[in-house]
Amino acid sequence: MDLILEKSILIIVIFSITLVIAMYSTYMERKVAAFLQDRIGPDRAGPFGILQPLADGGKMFFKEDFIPAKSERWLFILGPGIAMLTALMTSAVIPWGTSIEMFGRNISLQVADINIGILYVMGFLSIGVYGIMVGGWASNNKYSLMGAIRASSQMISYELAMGLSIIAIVMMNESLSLSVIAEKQDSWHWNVLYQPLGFLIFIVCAFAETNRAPFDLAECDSELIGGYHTEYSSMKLGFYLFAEYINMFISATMISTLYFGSYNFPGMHWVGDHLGHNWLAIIEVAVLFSKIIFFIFFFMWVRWTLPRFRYDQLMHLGWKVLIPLAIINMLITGGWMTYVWK
Amino acid sequence: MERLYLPAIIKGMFITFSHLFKKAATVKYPEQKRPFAPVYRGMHVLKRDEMGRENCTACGLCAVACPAEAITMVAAERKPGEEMKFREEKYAAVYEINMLRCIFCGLCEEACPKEAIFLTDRITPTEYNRENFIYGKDKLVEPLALEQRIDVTKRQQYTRD
Amino acid sequence: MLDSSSSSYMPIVLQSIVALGFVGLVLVLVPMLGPKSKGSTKTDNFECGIEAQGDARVKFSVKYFLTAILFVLFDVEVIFFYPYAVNFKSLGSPGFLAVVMFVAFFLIGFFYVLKKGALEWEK
Repeated sequence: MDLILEKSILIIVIFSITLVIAMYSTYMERKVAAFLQDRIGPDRAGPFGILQPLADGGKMFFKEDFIPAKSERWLFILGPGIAMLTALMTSAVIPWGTSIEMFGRNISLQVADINIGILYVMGFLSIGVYGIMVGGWASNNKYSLMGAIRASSQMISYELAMGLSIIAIVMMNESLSLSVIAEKQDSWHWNVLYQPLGFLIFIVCAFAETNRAPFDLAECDSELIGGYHTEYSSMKLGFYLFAEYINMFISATMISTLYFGSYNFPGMHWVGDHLGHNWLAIIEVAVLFSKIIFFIFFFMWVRWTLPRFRYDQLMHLGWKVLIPLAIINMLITGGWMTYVWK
Repeated sequence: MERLYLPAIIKGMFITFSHLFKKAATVKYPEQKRPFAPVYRGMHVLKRDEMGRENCTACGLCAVACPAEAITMVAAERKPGEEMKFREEKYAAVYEINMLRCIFCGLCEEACPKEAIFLTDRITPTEYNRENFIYGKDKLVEPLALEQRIDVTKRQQYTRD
Repeated sequence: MLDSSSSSYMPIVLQSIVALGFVGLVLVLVPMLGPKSKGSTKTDNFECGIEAQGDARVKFSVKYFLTAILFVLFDVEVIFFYPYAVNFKSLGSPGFLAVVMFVAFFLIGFFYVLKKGALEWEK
């Protein structure tokens, strides 16, 4: 029972943090976009516009929610549900820190320490494609369907390269579990130093998976009106948009965990010896969140710099460039580790 | 092939990054305002003369001149006791401008023979209903008190030409 | 190493209950919050303001179908890589050579697909 209580509290805390970070990512996106474009973003709703996401959320809640006449009702409601569900479930296996000792127990800061961590995340990513596909199909609108098909083609093409680029890390650490991968990136031995090509491939695929930055054909306003979420309103649309931001948060977390040392930072052993275990855990969580926020900023930075890819350029990049590169990366890593670095 | 684009991408990203530290070009309305031209065409006003009598005689020239057909009026005859309220024997009992139809072109100001209607540099405030945007005489005629009269001397120069 | 005991999956069940609860609650409650108005044109599909013509169940290009099939094939290959990667160090050199041969077979298939033009035009 204690375990269930402990895990429930951790789950609710992580949930709330995920939702709050996703909400404030919308605020941060508008502010960062504004500053990069020599203007100021929202600054009327509260000091510096801090309450803007609450106003947006409130607007989404109170708008009228209608279902188009010719659509499939249950699939229409299911689409955003799937998108949101998969986005929320992936945060279960991420190690947020080592562990905290409170009330005489050792509370680990990871909701589920399963030994197939990476597979779990990739699996949920694949199910996320269903959310978009179902949404586009259920709208019974030619343009939504076209947008949904293009978006899902894009997402599955880049999933392959993503999976392949992670294999090299799994080879190095011999385990699929995220907590083992995080532990082994001690101090400054971050995986990005050992796998720069893998990092590049992974980050490009992360951009494509979340339908963001230069790969946002699926939702660009000028081409397919709204793409797969044209026919949605109120909270269902809110779910699609929110799921995109949560996916961005999770991608940033995955990049930080897999390549940038998760919660490790140079000098952590010194801190652990001098300040004690609990303080180290708290600082580790802070370090992880600062890396995540940096990567979220990086996502937005790239979005407002690069022009959009054309669809065939996108597919060419995914299939003909990234997959061979990822395979070569894996072979080089394997060869190096087998023959050179015993 | 992809690598060939990377240096250009990174250079571009640094350019964008440098814009974070440049001054924003935003004017924080309503705390800071940009100056209007002296003949800026904003909300209408029906003027009174020095003795406080309304200038408008409901001749209908402004309504005819209006390209958006935004002005409507109902004329009335001046009763014997109302000499200090209206200048001539005909006056507008009901004078309505539909601010949603108005395109603020100023043709009514140019058409008026009595220098009764002018456009000022006030901005029309927002409303929630369409009905509230039909401004009657209560919102258009300027107040009687001398301090609250609206200065239109610069506009009169243009209309007198 | 970590065991895959069922107890370590229990928190995932907990999280799924919380997630399902949140999503279900919002999807059920929020439509009740907004105004409801009846209108015939409002519920028509959006087609840039013109009259919608025909159903959405039109045939779409076979290129998308091909992408999906190719994805399935290459995803199977990636799935085979995962257990190899976990046991990489213990399999040593002979294991690595076996995987190189495996990759070579797949690359031959990939080149065939490339030359046949299945990844052309849109992709």
